[in-house]
Amino acid sequence: MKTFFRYFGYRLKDSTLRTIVVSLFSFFYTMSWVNSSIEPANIYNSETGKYDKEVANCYLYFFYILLIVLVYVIPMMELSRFKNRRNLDTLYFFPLSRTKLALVHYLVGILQFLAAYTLSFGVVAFRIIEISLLYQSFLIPCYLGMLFSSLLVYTFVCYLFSSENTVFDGVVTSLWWIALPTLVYLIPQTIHSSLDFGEPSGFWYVLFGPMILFGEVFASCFESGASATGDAIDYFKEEWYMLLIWTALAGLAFFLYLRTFQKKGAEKAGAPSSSPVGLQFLIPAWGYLGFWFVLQLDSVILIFMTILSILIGYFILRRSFKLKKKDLICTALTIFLALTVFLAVPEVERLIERIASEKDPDYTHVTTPNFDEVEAPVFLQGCTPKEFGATITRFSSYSDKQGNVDVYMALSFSEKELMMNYLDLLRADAADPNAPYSGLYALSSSLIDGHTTLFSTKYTLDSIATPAAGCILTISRRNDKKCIMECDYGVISYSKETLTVIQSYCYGSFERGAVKDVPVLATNYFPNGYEVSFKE
Amino acid sequence: MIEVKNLNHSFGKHQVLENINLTLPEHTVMGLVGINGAGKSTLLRLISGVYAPQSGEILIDGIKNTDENARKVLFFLPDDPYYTIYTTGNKMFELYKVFFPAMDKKLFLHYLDTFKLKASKPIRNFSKGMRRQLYIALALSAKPKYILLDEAFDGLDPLSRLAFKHAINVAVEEGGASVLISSHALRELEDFCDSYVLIDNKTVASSGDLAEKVNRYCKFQLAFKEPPAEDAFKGLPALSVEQTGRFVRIVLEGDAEEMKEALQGLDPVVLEEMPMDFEELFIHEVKERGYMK
Repeated sequence: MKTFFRYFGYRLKDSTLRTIVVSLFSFFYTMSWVNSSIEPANIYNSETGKYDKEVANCYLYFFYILLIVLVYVIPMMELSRFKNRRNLDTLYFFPLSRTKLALVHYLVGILQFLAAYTLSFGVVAFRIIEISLLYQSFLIPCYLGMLFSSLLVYTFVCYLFSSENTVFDGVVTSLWWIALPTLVYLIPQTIHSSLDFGEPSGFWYVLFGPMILFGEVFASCFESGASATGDAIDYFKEEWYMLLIWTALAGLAFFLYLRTFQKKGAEKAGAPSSSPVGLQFLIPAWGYLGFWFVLQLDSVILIFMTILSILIGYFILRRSFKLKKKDLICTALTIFLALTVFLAVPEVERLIERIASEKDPDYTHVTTPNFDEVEAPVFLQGCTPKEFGATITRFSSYSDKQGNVDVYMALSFSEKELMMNYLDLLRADAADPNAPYSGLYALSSSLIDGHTTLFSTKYTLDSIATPAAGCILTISRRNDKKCIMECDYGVISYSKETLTVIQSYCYGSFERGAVKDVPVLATNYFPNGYEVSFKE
Repeated sequence: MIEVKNLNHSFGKHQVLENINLTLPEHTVMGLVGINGAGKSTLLRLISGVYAPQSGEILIDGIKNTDENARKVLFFLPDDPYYTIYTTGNKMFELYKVFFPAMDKKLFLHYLDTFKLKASKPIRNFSKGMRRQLYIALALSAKPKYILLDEAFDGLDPLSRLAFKHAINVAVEEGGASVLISSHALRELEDFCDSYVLIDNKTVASSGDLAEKVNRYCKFQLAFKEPPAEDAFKGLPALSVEQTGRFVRIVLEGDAEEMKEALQGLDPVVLEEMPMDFEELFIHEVKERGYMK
């Protein structure tokens, strides 16, 4: 063990300059963000005056981004020397087992991270104390919680990076793995609405998977700091199982990291990577998701480009235009599998529908993709959206023989006034149980660059892009006047002068993908927008 | 003693070493020779623990070389050793001192002085030969029991070669070290190696005492009145025969005196014995094995 500690001391001393540079970078980065991000208006809800985790999360991103950069860059810098045969000729003959060698570099990287993290957290803590923002007793558990979370991600990066044979492959593998699990979750339900696994995470989460972890821990810590006791951190109490899973996976990653060092031959350094968790796996995995996705778009060019991308991935992996037979087989299998799933899933959807119909003979599902042929349901006759100059761009209805009807329509208005009139009608009818539009309400929508995009809720099935000049509304109705929503309220707002900017918001989406029935309370018209409220 | 037993190694499907058996006794300088790509560097990396053997075993003083304790007595100097753009001689000394606590700074500085190098200068500014000199100084000042040197003479000027050979001799004779050295500078090896190992066709083609090997052969230069017939030397144990008109150069296996007598029977005008060296033997041997026909 003497040699281990001597080498650890040497590495620590050797990396002093890098530690200082990384720490200073983190310090100045945090300094540049902390004042504008950490202030009462960004932590507390302006209406309720209470701590708002969702809002705070938006402003704390600067810190998560720093942590992501640190936990990715530090292990890559620390372990990159093991990608060079020349270095290994020296490092591996030293009388120190590879396990200990791996451990030294793992620990030295952690200490570099610790220095940068502590300095940056200190800046955040100082800011909180300076403006007396929260109960400060949460700071220590928050520091430890974020440190622990960061080390979990750090361990994954150590393993992924070390599993590949070159620095380039290691970096690409580590980065590709960030988004892969989230995409596996998101893409199927983006393509097939019937595969609804629950509330998808935000787009940021797709790009920065570990932010889910950082965000949950950090914002929960702040929540704890906002409470009177200041010592109970909900995340650790309520989501302990998530931490347990992350910890178990990080433990496995650590074991595999050490094993990679023990088993991987030095002769592989610089050669094309062959790790089962590296590019060999990621190229077909991403190719599969990409190919499956572009098949929806019905574009031959995009399909061709995706196949080309898979091949380019292999060219880069092999550092040659000469591919191995297994690469071509993998590419063919990837395309075949994506095509099969693409064709099979609608069949599965139909099967699910049929089984549902068999269970409940009264249940029927009608979806009309050809909008021109859509006839307004009986209960809408005499007051159809078309009379208001609206075009139905999406229509879907569910009905049973008892006359209960659920209608989901996406409407595009040619003029703003017509839309307003229509919304007024909805508002008036919502209060009148005998009116034809009783129980109908509008959900939010958006119009960006002349293209309208539906805000996707559980029942609007998909987002829609259309070059309509007006606004699209999604209209839902159920006889029991309840709708399964994923928002507790939505706001439609738009500019007074022009229709080009119509934004939509949906706050307070139910956490952890839970969906529940919420009754409509009111649809209120404001001069600058339209608010639809639902009871939580 | 370093023992290599039934060692096999391959890179993917390409077998590099096959059934290698080798012993490096103590207080010996052994030359490791072979053509380019024969597997000399791979063998040194396997012995030093850089590569893990796929089959067979390597013992250093009876302990498997995968054990870190076994490697405490071994120093491997690869053909292109590790350094970073900031590394200086002093910095490398610090690094090696971590693993070889017996490293002698005085000795290190003495060797650097011999080679006219400064320990405080960044290694990136050194020429290839200067880098080689620095690492040789590191290897010798670590005072290991076994020194493995890959392409040891690469980049060294004649004076440095002389200083290096002297230093190796001191390390062996006074320090009790054993050295396994791979090089294509066979004349240099011949000067100070006790034994040799020839790696060819993935395995140990021949090995043994170097002087004995060289003395087993003799070389003569002959001149005749008329060009001799093609089969004139047929009955002799000739390793090679080079004929240019009336002049012949011949390498024979056997006692020089006996061979001289046999050659005189061919009635040459001139018969002169020439010095035989290891390089020539090596060339003959590998040519005989089909290399660069």
